[in-house]
Amino acid sequence: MSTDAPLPPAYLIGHIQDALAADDRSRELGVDVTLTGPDPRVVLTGTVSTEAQRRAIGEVVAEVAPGYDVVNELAVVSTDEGGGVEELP
Amino acid sequence: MTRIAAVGDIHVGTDSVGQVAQGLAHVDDRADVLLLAGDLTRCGTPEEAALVAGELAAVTIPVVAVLGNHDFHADSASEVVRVLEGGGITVLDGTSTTVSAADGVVGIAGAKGFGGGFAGACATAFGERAMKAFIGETRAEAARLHDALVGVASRADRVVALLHYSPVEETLRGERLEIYPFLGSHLLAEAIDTAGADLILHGHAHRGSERGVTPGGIRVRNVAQQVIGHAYRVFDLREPAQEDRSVA
Repeated sequence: MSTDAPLPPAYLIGHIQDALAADDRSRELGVDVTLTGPDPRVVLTGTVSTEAQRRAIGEVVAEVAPGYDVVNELAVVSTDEGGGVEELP
Repeated sequence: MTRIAAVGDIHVGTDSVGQVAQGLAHVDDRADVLLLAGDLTRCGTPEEAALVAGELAAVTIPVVAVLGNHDFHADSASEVVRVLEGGGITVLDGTSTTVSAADGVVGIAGAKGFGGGFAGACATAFGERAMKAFIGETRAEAARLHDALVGVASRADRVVALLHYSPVEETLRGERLEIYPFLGSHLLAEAIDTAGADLILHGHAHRGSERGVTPGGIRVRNVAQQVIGHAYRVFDLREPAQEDRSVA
C-alpha cells in the first residue's frame, strides 16, 4: 500500500483518537469519532471542558484527517451551580 | 444532615482558569465538604495542579480528592499531590480522613481504583507480565481502599468511599460496552461491600449514568461533571431517625 493512499476508516479513527490524546492542544480521551459518507466527513461528539478545547480538538482532527470535513458537534461541560440536592436516608 | 458536594473530571488546563472557581462560588453555603473524584488536571503536570489549587482557593469548606488517570499522565503524581496539598486539598490514596458536619463526623476513604471489567467479562491475572500487572494494580487499589474504609469506620458516623474508576456497571450505562474494562472493576465494589460504606462516589465515565448500586446494596453515584451537567452535585446523608421526624 502506498504511503499516500488514504487510511481505511477504522485505522483513521484510531489515528485521530491517538492524536487527540497526545496533542497538547487537546489532551482529550472522551471524544466520539465517526466517519460518514458519501462526502468524507468526520463527526465529533461528546463533552469537553472548555470552548477553547472544543475548537482546538477540531483543529487537531482537521490536521490528522486531510480531505475530510470536520463536523464539530462537541459540547462544553456546564459548570452552573444549579445541580439539585439528593437526599440519601 | 451531612451535605456532601462532589464532582469529578474537572480537567483543569490553562484555558479553564476561572471556570471552576466560578462554578464553586456558593459551595460553602450548600455543603459541609467538597469531594473531587479524580482527573483534576488535563495532563497531570504540577503547573496544572497549581491551577487547580488556585481555582479552589476561595472554597472554605474542606476539600478532599483522589487522583484520576489524567493526573498520572505526566508521571509527576507525587509532585501533583504536593502542590494540591500545599493548596489545602487533602489527597487520598488508599487513605482516609474525617470531616465534622452539623450532626456528626463523616469519614472519607479514597483511592483512584483501576480497571479490569466486571464479573463474567473481566480480565484475569494470567499470562503476560503486563496482564498480571494490570489486574495487580486493581487488586492493590481495592485492598488499600478496603483497609482505609475499615480504619475510618470507627471514627465516623457516616462513611463515603471516593474513587475515580467505577465499582459497578450501572453507572457506566451510555459508554460503549467494549471499554468497560478500562472504566472500572467489580473488585472495587467487592472491597467496599466487604468493608462497608454509606455512599460511593466516582467519576471517569463521561458518557455514563448517574446512579447505581453495588451487589451489597451500597449506593453508587457517578459525579463526572460531563454526566451531572453542573458544577457539582450535593448529597444529603440523613440519619433514618431524622428523616422520620421530618415526615412527622
